[in-house]
Amino acid sequence: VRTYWWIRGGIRTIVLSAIAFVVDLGLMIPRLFPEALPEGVFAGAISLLVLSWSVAAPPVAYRRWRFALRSHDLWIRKGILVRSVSVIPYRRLQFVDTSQGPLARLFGLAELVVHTAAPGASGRIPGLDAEEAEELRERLAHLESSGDEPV
Amino acid sequence: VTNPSEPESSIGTGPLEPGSRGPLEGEPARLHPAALGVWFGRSLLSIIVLVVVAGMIPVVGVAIIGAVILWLGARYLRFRWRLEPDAVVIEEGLIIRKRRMIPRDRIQTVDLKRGVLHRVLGVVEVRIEAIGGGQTEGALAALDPALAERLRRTLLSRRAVGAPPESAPEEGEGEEEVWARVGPGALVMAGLTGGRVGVVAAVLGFLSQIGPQTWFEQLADEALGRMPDPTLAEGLQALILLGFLAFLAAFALSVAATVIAHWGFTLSSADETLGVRRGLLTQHRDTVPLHRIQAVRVEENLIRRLLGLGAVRAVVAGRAGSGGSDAGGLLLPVGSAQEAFLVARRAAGVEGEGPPRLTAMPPRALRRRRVRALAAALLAGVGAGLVAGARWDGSAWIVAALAFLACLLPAWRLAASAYQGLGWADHGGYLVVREGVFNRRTTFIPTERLQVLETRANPFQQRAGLSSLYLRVARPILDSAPRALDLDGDQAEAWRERLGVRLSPSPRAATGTRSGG
Repeated sequence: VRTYWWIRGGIRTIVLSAIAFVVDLGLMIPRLFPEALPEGVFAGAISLLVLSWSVAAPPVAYRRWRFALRSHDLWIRKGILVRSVSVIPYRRLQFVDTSQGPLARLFGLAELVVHTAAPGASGRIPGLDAEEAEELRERLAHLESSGDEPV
Repeated sequence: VTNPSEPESSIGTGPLEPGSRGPLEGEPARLHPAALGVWFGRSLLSIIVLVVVAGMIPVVGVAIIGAVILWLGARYLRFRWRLEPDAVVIEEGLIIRKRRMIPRDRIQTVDLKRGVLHRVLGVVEVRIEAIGGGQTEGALAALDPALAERLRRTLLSRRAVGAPPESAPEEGEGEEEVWARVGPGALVMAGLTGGRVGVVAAVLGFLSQIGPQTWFEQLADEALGRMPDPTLAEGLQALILLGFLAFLAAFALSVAATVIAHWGFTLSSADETLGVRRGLLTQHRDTVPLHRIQAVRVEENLIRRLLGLGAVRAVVAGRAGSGGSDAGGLLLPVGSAQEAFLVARRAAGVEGEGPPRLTAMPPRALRRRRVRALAAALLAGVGAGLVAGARWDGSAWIVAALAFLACLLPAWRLAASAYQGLGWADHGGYLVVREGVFNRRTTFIPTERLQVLETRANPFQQRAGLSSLYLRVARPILDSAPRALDLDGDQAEAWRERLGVRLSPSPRAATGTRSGG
């Protein structure tokens, strides 16, 4: 049975911060190629493209990014172009991190990173409210101890 | 079935003095004194460089060598290791003191290694790999062979942790069963058909067979004819020849390296572990418990497929640097396809023999590949047309059309073979996925080993209603995840959910027993 514990994924502010970041990057590009391209047409086009993407993408990403704590596994959906759904059985959890960048701290947000024995981060849930993230981490850490087994 | 008498007594069986308490009984011990020699030998090159760089002043050179010897001596004196009931403990470090505990139930593999230096000094290096981290977790540079062998057995036995070691007889513990042996001839074959170099060489040879006079020479003549200076042209010719020779030499070297690295390759199983013995100069004796194997992969590249050959590789978590073409995890460098699949199935704990029967992907996957081929050919045509248009005007359209057709045919064929390469099967206890155009990889994954399941679809796949299922297992970082490419979208989702349920403990099992791994 799929029990959705949290569908409320992120908070609108993460969208704002992401936009701010990418816009900044977009303005950097013309500065990087001062004379290679006459009148900065190419750079302008790119920055326009990046800008439009940065304006359009976050709300979509926000809508796409969903996670659910189901009875036996963690379910994460994400991706705008490449859409993916990950299923991480609680039994497989090795450890759970929360991380917070300076910007995220400003907005009171945190990211939850879930690790299994597979290399790299197996699952990420960005844009959680900091307290929510803590709570979630503790819950997952508790769940993981219920079915531990060495690899 | 052979008995485990070691070849040329490479790993001796001399019993230790009875009653003595050694590192296996929890008493801290140093390495074999020969470790000094091994370390010195390893740092010899840098010492020489240092001495040379330090100028030819003999005093400085002597001082450097003295310092190194002192350093190594101190390192040797600081190094202690012991086996505790549930962990291997290694203490080392001169300035920063390290104490490392490797829990026994996290140990993945134990490898014994004897380089030339080790053999001269009569010792063995033991490398203990645990999960996580890119490097070897526990490296014991030099141990007495008998002790190393006992350590290996103790660490890998699934018996109760901390069983008295003296109860473990030195010999005849588990009957050793040889699964595969690879002779020198087959190894040459492996070198010839393996790796990229081999493929390139074969293709070049093939091309030169087709038209030695026409193709290559014409190309070379054309290139040389444009050279303004005849002496320059000659120089270029010599350069090309030199390049070709260098290529041949590199190829020969790579074949030789393969043969030397895998000399006397023997795959055997004993006591629920798989052992690989190999190596001419540096002898390896690698051991993996069967229950530590995450997945087994049969690799058949184009040439091997034509010859009906295949290689088998085990995916083991934590072994340092076993991604790519490196020898780590190789269970069979080369063998007939039949043999390869048999070894793979046995290693994965899967019944049956021969290549698995797989379900093909939906025809839409083929269409997707054909569209891709068409797009590539179109691109080539447009590119050729642009180039031709810039040079001579006029005939650009014809050139473009020719380029398009010339690319379309092979691309179309490749699309078909890529599609044929895809396949999947779910047998409950294990899964099989296959992919690859040139290098066809068939991966057997015991269901219990799955860590994370992920379905993914890029925009093109979404349009075709296709989706890929990534089956992530614990594995070396460089290794690619097994996946089932281009499944039907709904089917992929259903499969993902089914597997997720299978991986979850049933409510009762969760509170009751714990599976022993």
